[in-house]
Amino acid sequence: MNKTIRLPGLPAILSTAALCAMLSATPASATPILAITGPGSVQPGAALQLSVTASGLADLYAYQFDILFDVTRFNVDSVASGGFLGTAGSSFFDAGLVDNTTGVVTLVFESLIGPVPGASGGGTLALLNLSALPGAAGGSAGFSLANVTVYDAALDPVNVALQAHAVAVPEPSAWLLALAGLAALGAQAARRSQRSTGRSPASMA
Amino acid sequence: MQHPSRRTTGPVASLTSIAALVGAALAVAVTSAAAQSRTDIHRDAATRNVGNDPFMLQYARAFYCNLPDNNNQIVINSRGWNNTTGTGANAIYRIAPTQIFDDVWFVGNHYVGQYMIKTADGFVQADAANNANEVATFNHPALVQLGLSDAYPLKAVFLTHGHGDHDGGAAWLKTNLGAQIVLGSADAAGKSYAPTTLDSADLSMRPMSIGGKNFWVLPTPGHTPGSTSAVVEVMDHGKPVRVLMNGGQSMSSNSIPAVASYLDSIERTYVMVKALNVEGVMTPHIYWDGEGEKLRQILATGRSNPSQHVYGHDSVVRQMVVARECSAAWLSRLDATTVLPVWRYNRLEFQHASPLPSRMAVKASNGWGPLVNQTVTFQHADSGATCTAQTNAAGVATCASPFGPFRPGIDRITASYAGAAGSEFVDLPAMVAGTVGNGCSDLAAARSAIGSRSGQARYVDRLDADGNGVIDVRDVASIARNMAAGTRCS
Repeated sequence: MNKTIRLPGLPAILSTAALCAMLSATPASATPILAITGPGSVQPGAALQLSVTASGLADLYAYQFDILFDVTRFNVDSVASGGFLGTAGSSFFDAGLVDNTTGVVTLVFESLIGPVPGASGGGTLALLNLSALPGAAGGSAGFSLANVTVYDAALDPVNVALQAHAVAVPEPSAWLLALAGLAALGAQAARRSQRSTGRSPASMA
Repeated sequence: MQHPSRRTTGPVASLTSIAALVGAALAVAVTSAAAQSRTDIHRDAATRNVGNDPFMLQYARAFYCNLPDNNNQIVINSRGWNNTTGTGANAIYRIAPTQIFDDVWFVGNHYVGQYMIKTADGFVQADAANNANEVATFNHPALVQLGLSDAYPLKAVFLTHGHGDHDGGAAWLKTNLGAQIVLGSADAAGKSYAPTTLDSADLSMRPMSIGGKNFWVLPTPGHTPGSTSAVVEVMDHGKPVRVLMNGGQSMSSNSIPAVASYLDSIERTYVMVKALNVEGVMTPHIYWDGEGEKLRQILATGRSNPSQHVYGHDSVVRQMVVARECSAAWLSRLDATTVLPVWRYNRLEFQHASPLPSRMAVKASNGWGPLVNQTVTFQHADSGATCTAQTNAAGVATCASPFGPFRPGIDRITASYAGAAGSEFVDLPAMVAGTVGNGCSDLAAARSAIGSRSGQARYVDRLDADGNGVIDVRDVASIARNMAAGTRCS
């Protein structure tokens, strides 16, 4: 049987072409974005690493920000340079001051050194290493940037858009239920194995 | 004697009660400045010239200005500390012999004391206490404990002036220990101890060997006609330090010629202190400029390195400028026809990331604000190469053109301001020297100050590159941009 291939009609072709043209055209200069990125969930008591990433930057020379976090669910263990600014030359980074009581990392900053052009494009500015508190209540923990200042190589301020991030921490009951379910599945698998071989797992050398 | 109320007994509470009286006097100064009398202009100038030095504000500025501040009570109070016997209610103000330099010991009380200087072959003492009994009871035993003997005698006593609380024991020291007594000629008349005189009419600074110890003496009439100030070089933790002994500290309460002489003497002392690079003080009236507090620190925690009596050259010079303004204030009060320009102490401070091989910048300022449109000269110490620049509206002069290259950690740059004189102000010369650096120390300093605001303890003005009153990453970046590309700081 011949299979008939229906070709898209002219309107569809034109609309598709228009869409392609729009996507391929040089975009109007977009506001650079500083965002907190990383996993969307973590188990209580587990370690977590989030990143402060930048995109759409041109000539970044120096930055400074605070990081706000949910102190009821997370502790910040350390902050480290993400290395993006260092792609433009030697830099001077400071991990800021961590306060696990108020939930703020203050005054994280970095600057290039020397009369050099700034870094352009995007990358990771800083890495945030955290621990999810073991006994914390389940829910969504927010991470956001505050008091952000960004400068180009002329030391003029650069406007940036900020994007926050949320990390889900499961409820303890849901977590235990999940563990129980996993345990049951494991036990069931062991019984099937025992029936098929006629031997108990302990007798299998 | 009137003692201000105190919570505890002892000299500490009495001495620190000075602070309350100083505060009251300064409050008067602030409000009086608005009246703009010549007296108040100079009192205000004295305060401005103190700079950010609460210790100088509490002591030197308060006492040099006690008369124009109408605050003579702080001097009257101090006389109650003049214990000469070691007994009685004010015996608590005696100070045990205390080593203040490698070769100098203080003996006396919180009102007035003497300095015992060890030389290669004997002692030289500055001043001679209140009376014979005091030197016999305190000074002589101290000298014996320090090694007084026939082979190591008290060779001479230099008297700052002829008042009884300074020469009271001179006769005993001469008679019993054979010491030569040296006194300004204008105070020598009628002295039973027949001093060796130095000519008070010759107002030049000159070297003089006293008991084999080199002194630079400077007749400074005013407190008395024969007051003589001196500079001696002593040793502090193995390093030579030049210290000032002020010839006479308080002004006449009512004699215009005496106060005019005092003012002239302070101005010449300023010149001497600068010329000899004086860094420390040994003043007989130790309450005047805070040396009493320094002695209490030594007794409590030991002599620091450098000694607590090393105030630093800038501080000693600044103290003389404060004293000059206080003198001008009092003379203006006594003689309304006196119109004197204000002396302004100026300061040069290397700015962030300077000096560097490619950039030198200093900020010139004083207690009135930045020095604008003034010439600063940078000079490389080794080659003598110079570069001049004008200060901008923020008082910053920058030489951006390299006349190096210079080597970080090795080459030294001097920045100098020649000063200026006008009818209203005399802007005093200033200088600063620094070793060419790579900027990392400034970055480290900025890291420590980040987030601080003007007025806060962590805030450092010279690191605030954009002058917005807060140290932030823009200031860090401003420092960093002037460093060599590729520099790595730990």
